[in-house]
Amino acid sequence: MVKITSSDNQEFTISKEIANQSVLIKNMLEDVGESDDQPIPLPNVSGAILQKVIEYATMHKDDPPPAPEDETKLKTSEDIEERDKEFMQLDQGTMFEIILAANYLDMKNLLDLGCKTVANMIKGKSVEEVRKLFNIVNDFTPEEEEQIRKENEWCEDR
Amino acid sequence: MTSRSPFQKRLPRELIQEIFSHLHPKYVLQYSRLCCWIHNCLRDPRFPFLNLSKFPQTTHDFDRLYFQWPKSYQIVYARTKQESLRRLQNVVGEGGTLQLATDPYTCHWVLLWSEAVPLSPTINLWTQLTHLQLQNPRFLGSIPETLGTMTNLLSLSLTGFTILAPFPVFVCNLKNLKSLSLPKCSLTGAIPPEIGDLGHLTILNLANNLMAGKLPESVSQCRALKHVDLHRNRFYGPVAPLLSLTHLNHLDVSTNRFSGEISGEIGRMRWLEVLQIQSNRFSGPWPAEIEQCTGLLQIYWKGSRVEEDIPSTIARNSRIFSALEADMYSTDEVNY
Repeated sequence: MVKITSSDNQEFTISKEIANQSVLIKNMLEDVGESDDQPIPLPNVSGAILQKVIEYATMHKDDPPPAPEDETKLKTSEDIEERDKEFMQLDQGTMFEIILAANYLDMKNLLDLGCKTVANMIKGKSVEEVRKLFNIVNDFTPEEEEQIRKENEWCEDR
Repeated sequence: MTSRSPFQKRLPRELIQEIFSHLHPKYVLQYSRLCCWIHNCLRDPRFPFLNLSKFPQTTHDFDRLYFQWPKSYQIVYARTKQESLRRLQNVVGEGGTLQLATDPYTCHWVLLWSEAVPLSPTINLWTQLTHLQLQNPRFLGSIPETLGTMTNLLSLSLTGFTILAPFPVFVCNLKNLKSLSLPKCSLTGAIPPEIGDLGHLTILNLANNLMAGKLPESVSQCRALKHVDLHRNRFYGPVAPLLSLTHLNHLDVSTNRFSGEISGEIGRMRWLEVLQIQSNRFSGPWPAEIEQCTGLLQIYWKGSRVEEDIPSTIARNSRIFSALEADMYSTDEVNY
């Protein structure tokens, strides 16, 4: 078993196969060796988020390693497993925290899932709709925005 | 939810790029105007690589719309296409004298060959070629007519050739041509009337040649033209055939012997941004209709012999760089 602590000092004990899904933790374990009983500190992830990340890793612990040809197959953002879709039914704040955590912990599959989920939320929406959805403040001057709009006109016109 | 979007405050560049890379290359760049930070992330040269790696099937769109894609995408595309063209090179088989490379700046195919082998007639084997850029500063001779059979060609660019012959009429057989660039080729004679057959042409660059004569009326049939550069030649007569091209964005007829008045037709060129008519033999005043060219950013007219100053209404238009100031930079060194 492996012990990890979150930024707010919550301690979690997880199995090694779950821990190994994070390349960061896996490398740390290899560095410190098996015998060390000290918990691994993860100062960039809160307990609540770590809880969700462990939930995801537990769900996927029995996944077979991806076959090389699956690499291309899984590339489209439409290809998300049903259970993963359900897992990502979260408020935006948590969703982005999980993406950041997956990036920090180096968990490729979870990062991919998070990014695809956000991409799917953007897909098909106008710039104005996306701004509203994610609270993005337009910080261009009207002239700058018009210029960028013009540069990319060809991709909006269809 | 906080009032600050994670897109603006929390997500680092690589995550923004990762998220947007899942959106189709055809649509993704419209989101550049969401906010400054996203714009910054998407214009990063690494982004097209990431984006195209997730959409390996987009090459067809590239062939059709090559020139509209941003340069950063063109480079990535050029690299992926290079392999298939290398195979073609073996078909041509000129005993290793033909070499193919991609110009990293223009992203066009550059066909290099040794001085000993002139532009070979076997070049027509390259029928699949869509973009051809040839550079040979030491080349002296003619362009083989077989080039006229490369009907898939979308862009043709020859630079640094010394052809010393009239404009190659057979080029007008390349009906799909979108870009024709033959600057500094020592071309002589006039533009043939057959130029009107190139209905898809968007770029025409014949700058720095020895061409003369009047512009054929048929130029006005090249309705798709956006960029015309005829500077430093000896063309004469009216520029009227060009003024009916309402899609023109960039028109450079400077350092020629064009004459007559600039007609009011110019007012229909709503997309015109750059107009260079300096060093010519025009007469008469600016037509009042020039005020309708509301997109104009730069005008160069020093030595054009157009009488009077530019109408004050257009000079005041804030979208124009100070016309006089711009005039100071008007050199003939602008090449494409």
